Amino acid sequence: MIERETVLKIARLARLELSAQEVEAMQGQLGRILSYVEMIQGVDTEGVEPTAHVLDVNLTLRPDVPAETEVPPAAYLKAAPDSGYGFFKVPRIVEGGEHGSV
Amino acid sequence: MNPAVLDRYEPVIGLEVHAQLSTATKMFTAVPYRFGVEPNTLVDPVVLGLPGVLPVVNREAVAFAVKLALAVGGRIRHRSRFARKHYFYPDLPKGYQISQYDEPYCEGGAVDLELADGQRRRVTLTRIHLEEDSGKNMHADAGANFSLVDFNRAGVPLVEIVSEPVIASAAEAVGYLRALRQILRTLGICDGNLEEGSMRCDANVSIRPRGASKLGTRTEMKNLNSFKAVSDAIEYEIERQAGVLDAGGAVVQATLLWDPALGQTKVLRTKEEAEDYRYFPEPDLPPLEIPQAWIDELAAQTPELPLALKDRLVAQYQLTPYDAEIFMNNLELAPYFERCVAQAGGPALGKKLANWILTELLGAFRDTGKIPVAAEDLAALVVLVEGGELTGRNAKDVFARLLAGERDPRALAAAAGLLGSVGADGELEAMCRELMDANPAQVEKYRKGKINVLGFFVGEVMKRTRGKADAAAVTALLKELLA
Amino acid sequence: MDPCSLTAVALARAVKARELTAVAVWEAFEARIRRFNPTLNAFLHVNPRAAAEAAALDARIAAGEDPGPLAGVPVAVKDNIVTCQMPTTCASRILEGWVSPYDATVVKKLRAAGAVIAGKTNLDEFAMGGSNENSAFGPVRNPWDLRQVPGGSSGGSAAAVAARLVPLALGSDTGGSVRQPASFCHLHGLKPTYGRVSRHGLVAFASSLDQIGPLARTADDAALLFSVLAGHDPHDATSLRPDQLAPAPAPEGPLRVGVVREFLAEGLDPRVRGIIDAALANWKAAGATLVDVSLPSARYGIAIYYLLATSEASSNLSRYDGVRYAMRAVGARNLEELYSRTRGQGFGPEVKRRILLGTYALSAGYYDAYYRKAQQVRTLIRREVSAAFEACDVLAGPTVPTPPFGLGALLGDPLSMYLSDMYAVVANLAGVPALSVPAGFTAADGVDAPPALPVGLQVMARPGHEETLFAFARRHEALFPELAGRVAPDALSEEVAR
Repeated sequence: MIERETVLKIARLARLELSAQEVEAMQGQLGRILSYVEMIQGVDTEGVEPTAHVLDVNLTLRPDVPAETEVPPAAYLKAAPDSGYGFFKVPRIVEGGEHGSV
Repeated sequence: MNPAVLDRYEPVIGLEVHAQLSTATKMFTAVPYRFGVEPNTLVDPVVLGLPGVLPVVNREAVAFAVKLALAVGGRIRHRSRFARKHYFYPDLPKGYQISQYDEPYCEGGAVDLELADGQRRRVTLTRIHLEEDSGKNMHADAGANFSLVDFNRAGVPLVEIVSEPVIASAAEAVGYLRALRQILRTLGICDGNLEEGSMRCDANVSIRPRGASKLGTRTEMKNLNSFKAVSDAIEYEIERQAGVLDAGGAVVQATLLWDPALGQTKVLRTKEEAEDYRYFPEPDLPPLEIPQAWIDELAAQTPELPLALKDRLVAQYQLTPYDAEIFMNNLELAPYFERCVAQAGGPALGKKLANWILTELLGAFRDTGKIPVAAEDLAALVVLVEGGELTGRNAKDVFARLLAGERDPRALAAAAGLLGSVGADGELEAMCRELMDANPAQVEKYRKGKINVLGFFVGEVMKRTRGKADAAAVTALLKELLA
Repeated sequence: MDPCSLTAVALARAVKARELTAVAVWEAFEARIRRFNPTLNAFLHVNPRAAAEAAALDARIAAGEDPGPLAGVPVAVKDNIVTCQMPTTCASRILEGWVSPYDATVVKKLRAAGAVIAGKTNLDEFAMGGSNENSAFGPVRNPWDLRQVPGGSSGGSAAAVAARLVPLALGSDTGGSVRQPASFCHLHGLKPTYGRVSRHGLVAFASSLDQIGPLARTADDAALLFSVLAGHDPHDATSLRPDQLAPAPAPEGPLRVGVVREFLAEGLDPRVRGIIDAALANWKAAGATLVDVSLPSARYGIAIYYLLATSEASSNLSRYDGVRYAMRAVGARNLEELYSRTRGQGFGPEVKRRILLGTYALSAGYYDAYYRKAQQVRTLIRREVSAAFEACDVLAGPTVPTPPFGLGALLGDPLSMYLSDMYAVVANLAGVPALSVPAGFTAADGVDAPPALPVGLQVMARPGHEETLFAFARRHEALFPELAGRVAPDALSEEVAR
């Protein structure tokens, strides 16, 4: 079992709306999974490098050459849930109430 | 700003600068970027974060970033890593930004700057990392219940340059930004246009009582998109924080948005509302290898930095700091100047050549953006003058013809019969005496006090010598003979 | 000659030799899809242009062109691999109706090899699951016993091949999603070396673990399809260049088979144990050297897999936000609601569970204890696997600890479902190739007992050693000829369809 508040906090972080029933179910299910994965806490990993990439290879880089676009850009807007004036449309963003950009 | 504030408090400022790299294509996909084109036309599946797409790193973006690291003397990590930074916002297509986190490609380094009074400062850097830009949200008019998103800018390569909190004033902050911009432009990796957002700045500001060692609580200010905004916002914030402390309050750690129209900040979010970015290593990108051989190759292509150039011009050619700064600010002129010096046979003529460039050529350069006279021609012209073969006056005529597109000053001067100066071996004196003998009335007038008759004699001599005589010398000689 | 009873190798040869037309091949398989898919629910979309593509292929062959190694062979594509001509749903409401503007690299390769794209197959939503019950478009049934699951997440692909609706299919394997269904459906299923097959166009679940792999009825068919899929792709920075990893040939002479002690221990169903023991005994009798091998950290496999895979998934699935494409919840009054409602309504329960777990594991204060710690234990597993290969050519054991389980049997118990992949995840965590081959069937005893159910044997090899795995599989087929000939009976699938 994990705390209801914890489920709500991570659901908010992940932007997932959950019903009261779902929250309750997650408390138990996530709790069981988390207590299962606790087993790794006992493993001695002192000085062990974490694996971020499974094969030890370097990054392949791309030449800085523009490619032909296969799809007309307008097609993306057409496929959007809401668009207008050449833009993607979203509900009004309230500055100061939301995250700022980079 | 009230100067008394600075008597009591010491501001501590650090800047985070985002600079767009002017590569042909975006950071992770082969789509070009240009400012100010139709919205959502510079997009593809990668830019829009469609299902199934993967990032592929632009080699040139890495090369540009390494050049910057070399220019500021940062330590380049041979194996750095990209990481994902998560937050939800409409202009961020994937729900995360690909950035670098605990293993940036560059750490340390410094930017030297010169303040208006000529004082030098060194701003040390914490790190520089590579990342991708976001798109842009537009806010329709006040009444509208929607916002608009343009992804043209999304995925443009960025370097984020993070300074140490070592900047002590708004003026220093602006000086640092100007110096950084000059470096970016010198390297040809960013156009540094604050208004168009190709260079953007956030400022971390805190103050502490003079003499205190513990840093105060800082605030972060965003949306500083001009030098004036940087300056105004920092001064505003220093004063605001001083007011809070003076009133016995405590500064609250927060992210603030600068409103240039109102000249004040508003709170975007406080520490309690801070985002949890959930960084982790980008699994789609293996470690970025920057081998020493590549660094060496890029180092060989990295030009001299502006301030170093200025210092060298002063030391090597005895230019005034004022003149050297003109070269520093007109970077194409500096190598031209040095080519002229080389053609003219060495630094001895440096100062003369600099004078010619800054007084005669600069105007045409500024008008057209092009250097109008070949270096070997300007060098040859100055050599003729300094060798006494061509007078300064005639040199200006020849220069005018060079400006008009003609070549080879020696040939031009020779064809016009301007070469060789008159004045040696009493030739000039003989000519003057001859003139006086032929014009006794004029001599009489002069001797009776009509000294402007002197002009007549000088003019006649210059006419006869076809300008090859030194006008000042002729004047002095005539005065002596007429007396 | 019934095209549907032929192997892919035989089909391609017959089409190239003009003994069969690509159109005739497609029509035969299409007829089976129409007949059996209503029961099996293996396909979500059937390619409406398949007949036309087959006809174009026949025209090229008639004109003397070489159509490629998969000439006229219908291949089904798991619906988490993007295609321009058909929707790609990932069996999720959140992507319902979305059509990709680009083809995945593997899809382009299939076309270039002369394959006919048969359609898109059902899966667990976003490839998250081991039973195909987590599909927004209904579960898939196992053609060997309709009451059992076909395995997952590539359940639709496995059921389609097992029921001979197609000779070949693509699956994706993040923690056993190709091999576990192969085991449950009596097929060959390969998880390639990480980086050997492009992921460009594979909708990401857990980027550091995902690989696309073939599902086939014979070793040669699996090898043929893999040879078409493999290779460096400039659109995938994790795809291996030949200078980074050169594919290795199969070793000469008898194989040294490492038997992983931990894979024959606690948690293994005795029926599976019996089949694997018998298979290994046969191998020994046939001259293979069996080597006792230990992977002590393998017991942490599921724990670290579920931390790493869910963390990456929580990140990869952030893009489904209702802004740029696909589903958007109606009636959202602000941005916050737009996000949380779209995602709350669009994702199914298993996907939500994993997004929450992954978000938790990456969140401030937990990263070191969960994500980073799991990455460190992953290093230990890699080292142990690498060390084990010093003494043997392949590592063998059961693919799955149990035979196929019943529909609905594990739905309320996510953790038990996860443990179904306890042997399979080791290969994903270590990045090595792994193949599940048919090993036998459970005994069918009594009138009401389930019919005989398939059980698979898993072999792993060193990175780049897929050929060793295929060599093993071919010898295995030769050792167990009665297994190679066995196909799922049509009668079953027809029964429920009526």
